[in-house]
Amino acid sequence: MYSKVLSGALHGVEGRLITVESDVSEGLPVFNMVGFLASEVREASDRVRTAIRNSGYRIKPQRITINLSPADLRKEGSAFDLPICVSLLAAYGFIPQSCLKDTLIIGELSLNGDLRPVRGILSIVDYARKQNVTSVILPYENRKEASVVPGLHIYAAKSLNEVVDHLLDTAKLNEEEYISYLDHDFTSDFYDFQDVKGQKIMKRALEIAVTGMHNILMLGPPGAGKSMIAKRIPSIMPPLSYEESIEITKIYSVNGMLTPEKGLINQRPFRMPHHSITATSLIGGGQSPKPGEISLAHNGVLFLDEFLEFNKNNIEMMRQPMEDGKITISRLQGSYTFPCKFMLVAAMNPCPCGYYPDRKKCHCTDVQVDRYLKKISYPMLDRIDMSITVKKLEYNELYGTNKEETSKSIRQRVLKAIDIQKKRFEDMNIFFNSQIPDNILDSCCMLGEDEISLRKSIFENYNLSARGIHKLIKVARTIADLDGSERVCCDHILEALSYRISNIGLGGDMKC
Amino acid sequence: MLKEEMLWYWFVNIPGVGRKTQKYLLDIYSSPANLYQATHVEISRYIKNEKVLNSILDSKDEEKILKEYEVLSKRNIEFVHCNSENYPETLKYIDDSPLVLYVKGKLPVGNQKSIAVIGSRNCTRYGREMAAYFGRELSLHGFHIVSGLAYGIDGAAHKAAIEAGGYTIGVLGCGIDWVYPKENYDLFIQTEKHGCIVSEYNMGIPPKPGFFPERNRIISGISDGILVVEAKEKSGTFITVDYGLEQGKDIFAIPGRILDKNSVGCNNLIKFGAHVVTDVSDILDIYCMNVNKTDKLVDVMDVNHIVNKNLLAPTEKMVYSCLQIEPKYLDDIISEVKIAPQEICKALNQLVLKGIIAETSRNYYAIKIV
Repeated sequence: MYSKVLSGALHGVEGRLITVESDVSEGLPVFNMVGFLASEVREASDRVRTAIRNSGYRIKPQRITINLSPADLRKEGSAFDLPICVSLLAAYGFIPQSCLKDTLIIGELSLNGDLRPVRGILSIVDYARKQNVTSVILPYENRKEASVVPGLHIYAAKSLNEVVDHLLDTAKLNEEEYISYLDHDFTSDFYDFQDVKGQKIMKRALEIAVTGMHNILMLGPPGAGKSMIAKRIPSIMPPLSYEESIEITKIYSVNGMLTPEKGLINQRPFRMPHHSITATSLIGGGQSPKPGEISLAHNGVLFLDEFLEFNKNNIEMMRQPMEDGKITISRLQGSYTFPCKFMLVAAMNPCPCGYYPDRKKCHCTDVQVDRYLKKISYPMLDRIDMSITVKKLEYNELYGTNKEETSKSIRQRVLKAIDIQKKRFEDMNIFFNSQIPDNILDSCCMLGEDEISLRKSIFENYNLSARGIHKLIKVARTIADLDGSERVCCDHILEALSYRISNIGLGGDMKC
Repeated sequence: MLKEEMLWYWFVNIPGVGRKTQKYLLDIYSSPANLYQATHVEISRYIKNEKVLNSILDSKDEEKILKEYEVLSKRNIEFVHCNSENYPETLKYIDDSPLVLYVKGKLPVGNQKSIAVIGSRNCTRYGREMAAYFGRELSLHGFHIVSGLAYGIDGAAHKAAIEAGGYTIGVLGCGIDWVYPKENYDLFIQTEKHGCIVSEYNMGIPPKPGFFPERNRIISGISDGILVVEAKEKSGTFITVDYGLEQGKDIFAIPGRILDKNSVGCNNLIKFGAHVVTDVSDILDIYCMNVNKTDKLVDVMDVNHIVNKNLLAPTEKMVYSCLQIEPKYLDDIISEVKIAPQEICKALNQLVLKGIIAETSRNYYAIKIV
């Protein structure tokens, strides 16, 4: 007898529908699986037969053929155990075909019939909804993830028996409730800006960077607190919206990085890859392309510490994705597109020993420092909008009793300024000041006479390129937003000068 | 028949014949022309070394010498030998004076006095600013500034002299066409324009550690006085000072703080009798010249002085008062001057744009003297 069951597979971060067909016929007993399968899928045969037997169903050894179609799409993973099993049972007559109509079935089986969680559920279920699937049966531990997709009946089962009983109507499973909100619990935010003592200018710079989504470079000696404060950047970023969270959850689910009991991810990601990372891990890819660090940092922060130690090619490869906000990886089987809109925070030492310009500690010659700072490739510097020098704290600063501002307090200012940007860019396809294209820069930041002559003075006195000046104005625009000012004034531009990005030489971006 | 310059050119460029041998040969033959005309047999009486002897004989290739000499003029390099008209007067009377000089630019003419301004390459900002200040002030009073076109003090002095419209001489420890250090390329171009570059070494000869002490005798020889701006306890500047003492030049030193290792050398020089310099008048007095300016160096940095000269806003005044000659980090300024970070950034950048302070490296600020 023949039967078929709907299931799903992953294509990058998107889902695809797979049909699992089973045919049981007379002949020498054999268990044949076809359909361009990876080895872990082929192993399903043992798991399925054992799970069936241990769940109490007796099947006669017969000629069994299982096909996963479409036959030219490579199938991977262990999520096909359950649909193969159900299809087989249906082919043997245990389950009528009518019960399986428009139902997507997915899950991994243990030898004793228990259902195990799988990756990529959110993407698959979301895709299924668009394909007129009406109900989904999946592992119990994946239920939270799937519950954010509306318009489907979601049933979570713990074992094969539960699935069969549900399909036969003997013991219906509870339908999972649709979760339409994001459970955001700020008190659980572990990292707070309050934990960082002093470093007023670094905090101010980061506040501006986050508000306008400006990528920022921190220069400073080891131990200055660059990683510490970078980890706390997500805590002053606006809370995740529902849509943003779904995007992130899909990516993490596809990579198998979701904690089983958790539903949507409710905190902005903070990724800190080591500088020895490979291109594939950073950008994404691999034989069956998976998202890389830049996608794992989507809607969050990508922190590259020891920026100069990163492979130059890898950094170069990031340029296009940073510009587009997504990365497309092409393979023979097709193109995979992963989103990657993140805030880049880079950190590096100012010289080979790390302590410049502290003359007591730094033993590098002027030449060494200059050459070291020039190691950043110009195209990469181009992608960064702000830079700031950081210094190690003195004892009394570190153990001082001053109360530091909380992330919550900073975030309030940030949110207000982000709102202003939202209104400004209402009819445009951008959301933050850092994204303002050069041709509308002047209309977004109307400069008065004083400001124009200041800009001229800056151009004459500093070695900034045209790009550099544009970035300066954009940062000034963000500072003005934080100040609640509609116009960009000289004051704002003057402050922005302290965070400028230029061909970082020995402070030698002065023309004199 | 080769002209005198070309004979000298041939003489100093014979492979294998170093300065000692050159001196020895000159004592015997008294001029390159005589050596050129001497036969194998004659020369073999004085030169026993086969290799050197053959080298001298092989190098007597008139065509080759002419060709090489032409390259010099094509590259605008002047070749000056000790009998030339424009060989610097001051160099004639020193011990072991250079037989030849390769020159780019114009050698000095007239009776202007020259001061060598030297110091460590790895100097503090104090040293750099002092070098620039004295470089400028001395230039404005008509002195030629001599130095080695190196990092640190040398470069700062040359630059200040050029910017003040003065005349500067750079003495190299490498071939005349070699830019060392290469980061000073612009300075080399400017020095050639506003003075001259001289070297004892021919085109194509790269810098060697041994050349630098040698060329220091030329720096001191060509100057009337030597100003040591900043030097550590053990510093190459003392080689120049030693030559200067031998040659009878005036030695000047700028004192520094006792606890600053970078100034120990200068302070020691003062202990051993060098003239203490705290203002340009200390040098001018020695040469019986008058000072024609009104600001005393010690007042230049004073905050009230600055406020009187420029219109400073109150925040700018507050911020300026806590700055020093050594660079200070932005965050430290913020904790000292207790106003909002934004205000401090604004004030600092305003002061930078007005030219009153300098941002020496990212987010580090210091007072400007020059």
